[in-house]
Amino acid sequence: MKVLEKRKNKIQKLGNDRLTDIVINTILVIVGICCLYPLWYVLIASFSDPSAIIRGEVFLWPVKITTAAYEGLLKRPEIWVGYRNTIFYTFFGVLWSLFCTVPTAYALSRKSLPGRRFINTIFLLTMYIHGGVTPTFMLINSLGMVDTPWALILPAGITAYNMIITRSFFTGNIPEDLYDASRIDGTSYTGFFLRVVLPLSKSIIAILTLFAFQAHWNTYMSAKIYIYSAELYTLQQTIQIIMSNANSSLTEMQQNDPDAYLMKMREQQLLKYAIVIISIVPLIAIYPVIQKYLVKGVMVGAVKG
Amino acid sequence: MNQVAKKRNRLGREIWRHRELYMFMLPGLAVLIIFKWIPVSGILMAFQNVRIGDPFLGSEWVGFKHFTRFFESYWLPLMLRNTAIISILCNVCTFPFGLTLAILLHNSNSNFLRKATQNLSYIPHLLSMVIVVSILNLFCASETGLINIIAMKLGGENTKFMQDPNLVYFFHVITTVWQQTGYNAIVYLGSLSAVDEQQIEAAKIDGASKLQCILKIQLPTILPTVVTMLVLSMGNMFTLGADKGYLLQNDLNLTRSEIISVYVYKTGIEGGQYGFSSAVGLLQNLINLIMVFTVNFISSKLTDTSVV
Repeated sequence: MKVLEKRKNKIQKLGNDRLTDIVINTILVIVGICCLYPLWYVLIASFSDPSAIIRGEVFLWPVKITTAAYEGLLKRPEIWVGYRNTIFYTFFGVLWSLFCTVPTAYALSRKSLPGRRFINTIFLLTMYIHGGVTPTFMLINSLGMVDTPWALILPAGITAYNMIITRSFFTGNIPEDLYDASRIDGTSYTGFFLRVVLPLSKSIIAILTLFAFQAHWNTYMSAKIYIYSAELYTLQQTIQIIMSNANSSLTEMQQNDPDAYLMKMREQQLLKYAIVIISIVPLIAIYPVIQKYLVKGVMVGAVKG
Repeated sequence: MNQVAKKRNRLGREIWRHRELYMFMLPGLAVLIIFKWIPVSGILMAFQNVRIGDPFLGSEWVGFKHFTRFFESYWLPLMLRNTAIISILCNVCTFPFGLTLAILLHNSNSNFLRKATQNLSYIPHLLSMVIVVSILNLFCASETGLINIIAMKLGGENTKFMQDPNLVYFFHVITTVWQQTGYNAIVYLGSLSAVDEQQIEAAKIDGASKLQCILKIQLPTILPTVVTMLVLSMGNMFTLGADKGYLLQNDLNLTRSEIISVYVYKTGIEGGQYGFSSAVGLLQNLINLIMVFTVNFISSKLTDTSVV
């Protein structure tokens, strides 16, 4: 009897676990859909006929496929100017931030360095004490950097967070004895850094590159604060302008010809879907690399925290 | 030679021996001092009447004029309320989603589903604020947006969601949850992988169900991480950035969408009231600082782990 009862319990337990598994997996599917569907909808809408969208026929697949929106985009040079600028700012921004962060963090990871604690502290404090947007703007203005690419690249060279995660990487991965050993061979710090440290730090360099890339590619507010000339606009600025301008230019037409207005509005809406897609293509293209280092990057930061 | 001079000599030698390392720090330190610390001295602008073209910090002093003006401002209570509510809601709502997702991912028996969902869940985090708000705008657009299309199909009315002040908080929360859930889950997943598998095996042999293992073994194990993360997010309470607030704002929803950081930007950079805007920014920073240290003090009492 007892054995039977035990078996019964076990079966029931297995049944419960199966239910738990089903619930877990269902929720995971829903989460996945929630993350992807908005982007998927934007993608299919950008390829669909605008009237079909309004009639509510577009949900899962594009309807009456058209590339009109993308052809329309080709005729808007400001988007490509924005693209060019963002690529330029991002490329040099990433290089500059690696150049500032990696050597500094390495130096500060060496325990024998006099004054190390003081310098660490002035880095750490900037996480909590800021001058604020306006004083920073006034400084950059008096340096003559407003409306130049420098305003977006130079100040972003180092952040306390990036410096700290890089430093803790070096503390954990490049033992002090390693340098002492190579010093006997007569290597200088510079030689040691270039020949031994850098090759060992590929992963932290990838993480820093990712952080800097994301920051520069997505930056909007600083661009809006410092960049005023249309030929220097970042991609995000251009997108925002197109997104908000399209509506206001329509109000006059609305009174004259409602049909033409409606048609125009639909076309512009389509254009907006296409812009979103165009601007995230590069991110999606390098996504496999990004997601690998994103996880590593968060974990490096979390260990510190 | 006396002791002090000897000591100083030794320090000098040490510094000389590390001269290369100091050279390493030059670019980083220069950026830090010029772009982070010199602007801190710019908080003095809060007490000046700053005009464009004045030398840095060389403007006329006006004492506490800007502060009194701000305290008498009609917008002050509205802004404080909006900033506080939005940041609290965003923190409180993202936290359980990230934690739940991590637990679900950790316990799923399907390898494919786990990998797929986890990878999909980071995608929103990579998008810029401009893109996220653009997508929101497209979905909520009147007549052409998906939500209105569905609503009208179901016999509802066309609504201008983006201009509704009552939806501003919701928009802040939903976009934050969409972007942060997958990202926040990473940290919890990391600490879940530290859960003792043998303990779970033992519990299973004793007849514990999967749900019991989650609630009684996994959750207690990662509790310290959860507390730390919660505390950290509390410290960031008033640091609500300007990007999203600015993008979600329009003339019709100002009563709910005006927040301190956007106000600082609008009065200072757009409006040219540099002194006044510095004063508001300084107040915001002070609130932040007090929050961080209060929260840190509480957490060090509670968990023995100091965050700062």
